[in-house]
Formats: sequence, C-alpha cells, structure tokens
Amino acid sequence: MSLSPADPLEGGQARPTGTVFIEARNLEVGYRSKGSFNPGLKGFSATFGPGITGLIGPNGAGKSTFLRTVCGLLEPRGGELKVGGKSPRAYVETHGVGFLPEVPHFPSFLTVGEFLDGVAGALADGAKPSADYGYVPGLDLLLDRGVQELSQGQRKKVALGAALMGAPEVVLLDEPTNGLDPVAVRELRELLAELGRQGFTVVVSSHHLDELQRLADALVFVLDGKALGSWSREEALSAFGSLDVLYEQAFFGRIS
Amino acid sequence: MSRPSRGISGALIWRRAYWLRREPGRKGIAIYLLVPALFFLPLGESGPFPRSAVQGLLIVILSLALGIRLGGGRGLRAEDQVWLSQKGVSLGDVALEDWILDLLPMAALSLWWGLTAYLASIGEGWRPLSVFVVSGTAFLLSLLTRTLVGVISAFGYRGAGDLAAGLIVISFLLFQVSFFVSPAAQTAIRLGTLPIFRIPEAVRALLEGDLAVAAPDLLHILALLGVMLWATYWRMERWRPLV
Repeated sequence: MSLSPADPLEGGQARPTGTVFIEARNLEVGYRSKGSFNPGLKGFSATFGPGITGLIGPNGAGKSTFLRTVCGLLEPRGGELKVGGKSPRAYVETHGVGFLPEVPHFPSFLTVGEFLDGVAGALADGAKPSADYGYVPGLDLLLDRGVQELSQGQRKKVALGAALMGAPEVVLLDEPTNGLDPVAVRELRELLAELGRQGFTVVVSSHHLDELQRLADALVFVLDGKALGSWSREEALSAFGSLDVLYEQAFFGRIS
Repeated sequence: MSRPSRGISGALIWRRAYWLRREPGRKGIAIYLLVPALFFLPLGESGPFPRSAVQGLLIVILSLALGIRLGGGRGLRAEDQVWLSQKGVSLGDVALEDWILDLLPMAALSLWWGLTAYLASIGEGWRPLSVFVVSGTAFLLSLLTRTLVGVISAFGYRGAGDLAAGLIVISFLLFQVSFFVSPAAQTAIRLGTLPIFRIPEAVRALLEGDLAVAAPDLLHILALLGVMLWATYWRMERWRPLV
C-alpha cells in the first residue's frame, strides 16, 4: 500500500483505547418534512472511543441519522453530542471528519483525479493535491476516469478516498461494503483494521454482521432512535455466541 | 485553529472542469465566440430596426444567457458539497470563490464581444471607446445575472435560472412603463427593479466622464451586487448538505 501526503495510514494520531471521543447523551435529532417533524433519534445515548465501533440495527433505526449528526450535517434538537469535547459543527470546522455516505454522489463533470485534488486542496494540514491516492487499493487506477463512468463499487472507493483524505481522527462509514466485490471488501477490511489499530475513532454502520464480527472492537445496537445496548466484541461474543444471535434477540425485544 | 479553505487555486480545479464540461461547456464557449460573427453581416440594413439595435440585442441576449448558465443550479448539487463540508470548509467561502472565478470568463467574453462589435462597425464611425462601452455593458449584465441566479440557488430554489429570467422580463416591462409615469413612480420603479436595462447608458456616461448620469445607476448596481453576495454568503454559511 503506497503512501501520500494525504495518507491516513501515515498521519494517524494514536489515542489510547478506552478513552471516549464521541459522547451522545439523550440525543434528539430529526428531519423537517412538509411542515411536520420526523424524529430520527429519540434519547440516543452511547459513547465511542478509538478503534472500530459497529452500529447495527434495522432499516430506519437511526444509524445514518447519528452519523450525519456527528458529521455536523444535522443539528441536535435536544440532548447533547460532543465530538472531541466540542459540538459536532465546531469539531468539523476545526478538525474535519471522514464521512462516507451510503450513496455517494460527486460533481458529475469531474474526473476522479480532479475530484480528489479538489478535496485535497481544501485541507488545512498542508496536504497538497497529489497523484498518489494509493491508500485505497485500486483508486490510483481510476484517476483519469469520469466519475459518471464508475460502477457502484468504484464510486465507493473514490468516496472512501475522499473521506479518509487528511487522516481525520473521526471516520464515519455508512454501509461501506455495499456494492463492493469480495476482493475490495477484504481490502477495505484490512484498511479499516489498520485505522483501528492506529487509534482512529471509526464508526461503521452496516448490515453485514459477519464483517463487523471480524472487524469491530465494539458494537452499538440501534432501534427506534435509541441505543438499545453497547458491548465490546468480546462481551458480545461471550454473551450471545455471534452477532446474528445478538441482533435477533435485540430486534425481538429480548434485550432491554 | 482556523477553518480550512480551498483557496482560489483549489477552487479552480473544479471550476475549470465545470466551465469546460458543463456550463457553458466547450460547445457553449464556441457559440459565445462565434455568434459575434453575425455583427459583420448586413443585419438590420434592410429591415425595420437599425443595425446597432440588432447588435445591442444580440449582446444583451449573450450576456444574460452567460450569466444565467454560469450561476445556474446545474453547478454543485447539495450532495456534492458534503465532501468539502466534512473537511470543515466554509460553504460561504466556496460560493464566493466560485463567483470570483466566474469573473474571468465573463470578462474575457465581454471583451471579445466588444472588440468584434467595434471591428464590425468601424465603417459606421464607431470610436475605440465603443469597445469599452459594449464590453462594460456585457460584463455588468452577465455579472448581475450570475449573482442573481447564485443567490436564488443559495436559498434552495431549483429553478433559479427560470426565476431570474422572469425577474429580468418583469424589470424590462416596468422599465418601459417608467417612461409614462410620474417622477415619483419612476424613482420607485428604478429602485424596485433590476437595473439591467439602464446599464448601457450608465456605462456610456461613465466612460464619457458624465458622472452625474452614471453614478446613481452604478451605485444601484454595486449596492444590489453587495446585498446579493452577502445574502449568498450568509445562507451558505448556515446551510448543510443533507445526504
């Protein structure tokens, strides 16, 4: 894996495990739609530290809403959310984060190289546009392609390249493996594992429980806008045997 | 720690691609460069309108089209801004950087149109000053239109180009009406509409040193540009792309 000035594997700022970096207390977040307010999170409380935390739960539970709120795209209406001790917006404005939306969109008139160079030009840490985006495997082969020509999996790679650029300490990934082929999934797993080892705070929302079982250091189950429970991987596996069992028991109300 | 910024050079990476591939695009640029060849045809000489009126109309149409297309909502979509927003970049700065960069094609094309109009009309006794009257008029027309479309887009209206065109038509109609109303109503119409159709006279007066005629309209244009830019910045600083 090659390195570049914007390479997260080079620029990571290790933090000791066990420290809390993202803290949500009774968080209330929602969307305004046609005059009414639709709550996405209702009293969500959880903490996230360095390493990889998996967010699991059914569709519409509030996982993506939480990631968007940490990223500063949504404002909390109640409760408290601190990222690195600051409000999400204040943290993002001073440090930046790495956010991979579930369905990434790009300015359709750009090539991949132009897109990434434009994002790299925005970084305050001195990172300059670079032809070397090899920290995401296979990304450097796409630089001359138009973003509109890309397959779903290739779009995910480009989005991951932009999200990880500048080595943000907080990385938020919404369904990162959707659309990726098995080799790309394995490469992504290795990349995330490395980020986790280096002390990045990585939050991954995913329905791929087998992936999270291999990868995540901690797990949070989200249901109806609330964090139903959180476990370290060891705790989860010793209590339930597998994440499939944890998921089913939580989903059917056997965990309070 | 200060907020990161793309800066003009960083913004140019995306904006240059936007000009070449989207608005106006390579074909659009070719059209903007070639249409002034019509100035050399005997336009209007056998028709009901004088030649200079036909030329003027063409330049107004080209300038308004350029302004509307450069500032149009087909630029960065909401979901595209998430990549800059997540790095902490001010989206107000992004809007202003794009506006500043758009001055380049607007200035270059306006100068080209002024030059071609002058060369086509030397035989009719046009003075070299005409180059700057035509170019200045075209530049201010496209600038005002670009800024208008930009502020409408910033407030989330997807048909910003259509709305801007509608406002321009209304301003034109009221401008015609203003010749037939009382001085007080005339002043109200002047202040309440886009000063687009007073630009040619203001630019000509400015270049001929007649500040008493030029100043009120130029101040109106500057004030309107300032308010629209401030509103664009204010709105974009508070807006977040929801993806």
